[in-house]
Amino acid sequence: MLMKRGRWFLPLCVAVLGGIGSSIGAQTERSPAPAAIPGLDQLSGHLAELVPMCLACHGENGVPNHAEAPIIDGQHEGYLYIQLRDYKNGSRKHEVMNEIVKDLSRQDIRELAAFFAKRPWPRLQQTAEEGDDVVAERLASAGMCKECHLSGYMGDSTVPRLAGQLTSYLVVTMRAFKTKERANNAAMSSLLDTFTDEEIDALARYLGAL
Amino acid sequence: MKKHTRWLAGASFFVAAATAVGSAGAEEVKGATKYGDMRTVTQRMLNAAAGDGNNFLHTNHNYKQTRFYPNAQINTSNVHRLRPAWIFQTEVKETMETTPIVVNGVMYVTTAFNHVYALDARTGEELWHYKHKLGPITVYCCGPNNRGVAAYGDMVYMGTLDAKLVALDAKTGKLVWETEIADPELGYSETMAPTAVDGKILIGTNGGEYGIRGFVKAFDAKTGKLLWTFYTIPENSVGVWATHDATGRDMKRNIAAEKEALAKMGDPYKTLGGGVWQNPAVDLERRRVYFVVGNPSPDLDGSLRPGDNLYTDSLVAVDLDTGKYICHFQYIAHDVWDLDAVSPPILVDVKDKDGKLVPGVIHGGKTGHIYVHKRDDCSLIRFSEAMVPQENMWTLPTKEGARMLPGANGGVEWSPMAVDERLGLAYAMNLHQPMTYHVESTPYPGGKLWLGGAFKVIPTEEQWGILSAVDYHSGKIRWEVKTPQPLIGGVLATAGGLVFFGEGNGRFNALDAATGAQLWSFQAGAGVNAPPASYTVDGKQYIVVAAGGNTQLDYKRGNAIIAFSLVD
Ligand code: HEC
Ligand code: HEC
Repeated sequence: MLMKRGRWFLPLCVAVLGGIGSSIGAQTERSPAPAAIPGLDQLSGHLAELVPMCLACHGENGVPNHAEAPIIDGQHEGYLYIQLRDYKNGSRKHEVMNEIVKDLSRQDIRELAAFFAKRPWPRLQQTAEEGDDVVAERLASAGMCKECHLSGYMGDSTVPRLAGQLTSYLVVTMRAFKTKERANNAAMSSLLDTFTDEEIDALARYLGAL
Repeated sequence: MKKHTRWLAGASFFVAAATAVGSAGAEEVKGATKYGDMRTVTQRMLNAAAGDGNNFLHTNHNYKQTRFYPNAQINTSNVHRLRPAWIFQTEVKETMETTPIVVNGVMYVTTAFNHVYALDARTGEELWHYKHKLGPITVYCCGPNNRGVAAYGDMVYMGTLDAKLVALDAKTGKLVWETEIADPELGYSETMAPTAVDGKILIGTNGGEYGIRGFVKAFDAKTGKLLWTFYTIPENSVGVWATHDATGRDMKRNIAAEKEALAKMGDPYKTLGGGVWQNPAVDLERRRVYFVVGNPSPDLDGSLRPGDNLYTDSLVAVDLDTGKYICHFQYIAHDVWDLDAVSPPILVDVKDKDGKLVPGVIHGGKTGHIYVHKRDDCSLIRFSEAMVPQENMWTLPTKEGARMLPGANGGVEWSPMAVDERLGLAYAMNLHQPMTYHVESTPYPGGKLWLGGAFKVIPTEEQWGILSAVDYHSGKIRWEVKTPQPLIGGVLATAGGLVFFGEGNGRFNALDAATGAQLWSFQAGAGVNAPPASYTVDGKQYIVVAAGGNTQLDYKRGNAIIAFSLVD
């Protein structure tokens, strides 16, 4: 089920609007203690201070704490960089993310992208429904998804990995491409434009379960 | 002559068993090549490549790009005895478009994501392996391809997905220098093999789908210093408001609306695309290079780019030493179908309109025509019969999608052709993949894919490939062979009267160059979508090809380099 979009609260204490797995609830979640995060010491000081906040939503061990927040650990560095750049220049819009990156420099964004890309991609153990694969494969061949996302949907560089991404996020972001609410890739929008919401849901479950 | 069309027979008719060659010869060879004896590639060797029956020194075999290998040891009468001599497996199982370069018994191949391997061409044994460390940002449309190295002096050169040019020590694979060709964040990337000539390394760029400004650049082979840049998009890109294409068909341009747009927005040259991503042909006598320029950006939306969009979709000649413009011929002005010019041009003598033999240039287009030009001034002498179905040309793209044939993956695409000048034939592999063309105007997205709409494959329509032998003196199709899948990868012709080419289903074939009769076939187990090459060591001729499949057409991926030789 999709969560209704509510208000997001920043910074260190983050209201959880909806979650997955066990870390759910309407209670406030604490950011993890910086000391416990490997690699943090390699980041510039002001970024090291930011990372625990990122993890409060994107997950301390990479498993997002929100239904609408993607996995960023182990995602491709180029893609993470481009997304943070796009949140900063406003071509991708999201209340929280736009706010978070607004004062970061290009160098900061590069560092953050490199940091998250090096962390391991978490396995969410999501499952698909019967028949999803048939729908997904039909759509994927019509949309030539693998031409860009590559075999196994592993992506590369500025093209994101989709395999095993959080299903509920995939639904949100693909629908947002379709309605052009996510407007930072016109090609993805015109591809998804021809798919129904139900087809998008099946595709998301299929990709999430890979 | 009447043209013959035939369907390629199933592989089961042919002996496809992989027989290992006797191991007797292998041992003694080993010591001889390993790091020994890797000769420097001199300019004289490069100039004489067309007649070099041992090496394979250029991606398209020689500066004229004929892809005609002059050794006849493997020929129509014995090709049925062709078997794998060795198979080398790379570390990267992704799309392969590499042409193996062979220098005195050492072979250089590349893989997706910019790995380079040096192999013993007799045994397939690895000599070294270089892995380019790609920067975090690479932006490319159609797979992480690489088409191979250029060999020159004691170095080999490769363009990378992150738009760098790297020079490696040919003996060790160590990086000698590296230079940035352009900024990958703006949509520039490299997949073509560079061309080496007279101390220069020539290379173009990808990015016609990203709003780049295309170019061909020359770098100093020793130092990597930039020597000259030719922008494929001049600051005045408007042209002559051509209303018809090279074949005389009306392109249905709304010139009045374009003129109005031009007055409002100015010349769109900064983001007009025009990539060059296949090797130029080099005319050493005239000191010219000839290349073809790709599509305008955004592909489908002409409203943002009024004018002819010079020199997109054109054959262009520039001065080898300075990069200065000499002549051009535009096939499609203001293209909105991505039916651009990609397949490398070939320099051959051709009959002009009066039947007189003159220096010519030929190019196989995505339209499905082979265009025949005068080398002198780039002008068009003739165009061939269409090799693939054409329907509703030129129908403008619409919001809902308009069907027109060829589709955007159509005609010859990037696949290099080969010619046999003795027969006056050019061999072109073609795609037939019906699509609808959709337009939707979106502003320049700063280095992201910018199609201005979408190309959609029509799932209910049949697709296929066709290998055509075209008489370039007359423009007539002499024979053609159909394949079950669209063809991409490239062709090799040899003095043995043979034509070699691969298919997406893994088959690698040899045909009789004169008749198109199928003489041999081998199942490689993954798509054979790379240009074949040939070489001779210790008196033994080999045919070699990569079997790695193709990302763009989603043909089965693999990671093999397969060399074939004759068994007794
Ligand atoms: C309050 C919760 C929250 C915090 C804190 C947060 N994010 Fe996000 N992040 C999100 C959500 C929700 C999205 C999805 C937004 C959308 O749909 O555009 C997102 C999207 C992203 C994306 C895009 C990934 C993709 O797959 O497209 C990146 C990259 C990212 N965040 C990085 C960060 C970094 C780095 C930080 C810390 C500096 C951070 N985020 C802090 C909630 C958060
Ligand atoms: C022409 C290349 C191309 C094709 C084809 C393509 N994609 Fe994408 N896709 C991209 C790129 C590039 C991005 C990153 C978008 C950006 O720059 O913001 C992306 C982003 C996405 C995202 C967002 C991931 C995230 O973490 O936010 C999803 C989901 C997605 N694509 C699904 C698909 C599906 C499903 C198909 C086939 C129906 C498809 N794509 C076809 C290039 C492509």
